Amino acid sequence: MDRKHSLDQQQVRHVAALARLALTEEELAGLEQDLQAILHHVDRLAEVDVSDIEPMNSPHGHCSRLHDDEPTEPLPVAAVLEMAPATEADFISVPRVLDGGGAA
Amino acid sequence: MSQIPEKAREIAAAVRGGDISAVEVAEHYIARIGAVDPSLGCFQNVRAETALTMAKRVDATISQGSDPGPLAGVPVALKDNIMVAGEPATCGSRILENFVSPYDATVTRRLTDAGAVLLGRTRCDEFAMGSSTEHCAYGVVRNPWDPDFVPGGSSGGSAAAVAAGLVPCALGSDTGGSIRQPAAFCGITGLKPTGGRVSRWGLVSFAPSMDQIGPFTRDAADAALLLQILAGQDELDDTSAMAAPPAGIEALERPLNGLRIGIPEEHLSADNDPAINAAVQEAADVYRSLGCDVSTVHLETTDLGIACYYVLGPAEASSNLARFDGIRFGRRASGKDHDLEGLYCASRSEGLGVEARRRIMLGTYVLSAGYYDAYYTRALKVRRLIHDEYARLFTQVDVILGPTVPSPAFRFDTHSDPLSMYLCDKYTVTANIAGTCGVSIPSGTANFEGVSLPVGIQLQGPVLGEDTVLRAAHHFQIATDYHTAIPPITGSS
Repeated sequence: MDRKHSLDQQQVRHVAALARLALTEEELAGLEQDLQAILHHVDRLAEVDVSDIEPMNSPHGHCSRLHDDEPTEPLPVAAVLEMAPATEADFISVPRVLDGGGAA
Repeated sequence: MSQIPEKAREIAAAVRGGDISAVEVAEHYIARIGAVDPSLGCFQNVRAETALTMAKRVDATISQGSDPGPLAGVPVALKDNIMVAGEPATCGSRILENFVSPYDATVTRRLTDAGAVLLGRTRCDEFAMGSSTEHCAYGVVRNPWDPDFVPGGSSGGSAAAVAAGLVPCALGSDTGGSIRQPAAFCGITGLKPTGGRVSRWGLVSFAPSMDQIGPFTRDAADAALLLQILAGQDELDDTSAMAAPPAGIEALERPLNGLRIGIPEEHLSADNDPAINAAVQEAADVYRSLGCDVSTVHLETTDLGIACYYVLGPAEASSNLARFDGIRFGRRASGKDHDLEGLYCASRSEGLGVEARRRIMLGTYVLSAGYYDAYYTRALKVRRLIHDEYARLFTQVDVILGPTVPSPAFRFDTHSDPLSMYLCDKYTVTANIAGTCGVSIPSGTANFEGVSLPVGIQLQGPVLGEDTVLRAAHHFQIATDYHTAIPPITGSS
């Protein structure tokens, strides 16, 4: 049967932007081909009768539970800062986001 | 030096009994890794000094007359996506090249509390995405049975290390077969516990509704020993199961008389390597001779497994891997002139490898506006069908027997087409989708282009059914000696 959902280059570009991936033209073309093939296989799900079936987000139904609403010890600030690639005093530094952003 | 036993329980007994010291054991394995691992590449790093310090502590505990625990002096290797405080956990990714874990995984703490000696970190496919360990940013792992073949994946380093005798046991993680498939390819025992059986706290998330940590061992009895230490409810993981603990080694001995074993007709596909189907039939004969009631059953959703998994897994992965953005931890792109969004994009694109990107793209697509219901919601409904079919089948049989993988190990670069690699996991992904448990055990060898490679069979059980599948595995290993086969690579040690 025909592919139910085909993917074009413009969509691949859109998905890469949503995923915050900067990809070359070559990489985009390769991904378009790979995703087409995988989605073609996935299309067999569309042939299954799922009327009246509830979605199952997780099979962990036997154990999900809520915590007591009690504070616990978080990671020390120093440990968090140590993991960050760039810091300034007790802050993680990022490029400027106000005043139109631009160079850091 | 006295003879070092090869099984975890034998090492623990010898160390607790004072026959050998934990330091002797650690030195033996460190030397063996030094001699053999350069040709295999199982280890991302070996923490020799820290391991010897831990071993000395175990010996000191014994000399003070105390018991260091059920894993006293047992060396364990951890897949490089499980955290040890103060040590790297690269997940096989450049984006975590310089990451240092700020805390211990719950399994790390449980192992060390039981007296284990953490020997090092094993290589894996990037973020545990793969079936060959070819997608590790730091180098491939070779199959100890033949270096031209992959060890399977994604926990290929852990599997190959146990198979080559570099460590008596190791931990991996299994999201779609990443413990069972490399165990089959390397000829060892690999257990994927029930979803929620073992805490995921400190395991770097790939797809949390399916991720599960489990042991690689030389036999089912060692797997039962490890599971008993790893399993249990954990306040730090809300999906960890509130359940009676597994029964442990002693309970394995109870005879199998009357155990109901079902072989799904759909798992004996004509597309499987003939040696695989022959191994399943031979195992059926072994189980009949042990008094089991073996019958043919059906798992009609088998052919939906990969399709369902490659919607759900990537969807969860694309959400989880969004945290790798170059801001709070991990690699940040070096350029000075990025705006914030450009910094995210550059950091992710520099740091993430080809398979991780592919899954992020797929997951982002199936969750995007206009496609969410057609793909994601539909896959969640098919998940319930797969789950319900397992649940119904487990009212008729106690254990499902079948192949772990459709073929033995393959050569490097065999599956350049990603879909053909994904299809290797068709018999393992459904247990992750349904949250059930399964173990792969060795069941002989297959000749592939003149090379002798291990074959694995899979025993699947229901939710929290590990005691039964491990008991079935244990009796197979009493009746046969496939699990004692040693790969030809021995090194100079």
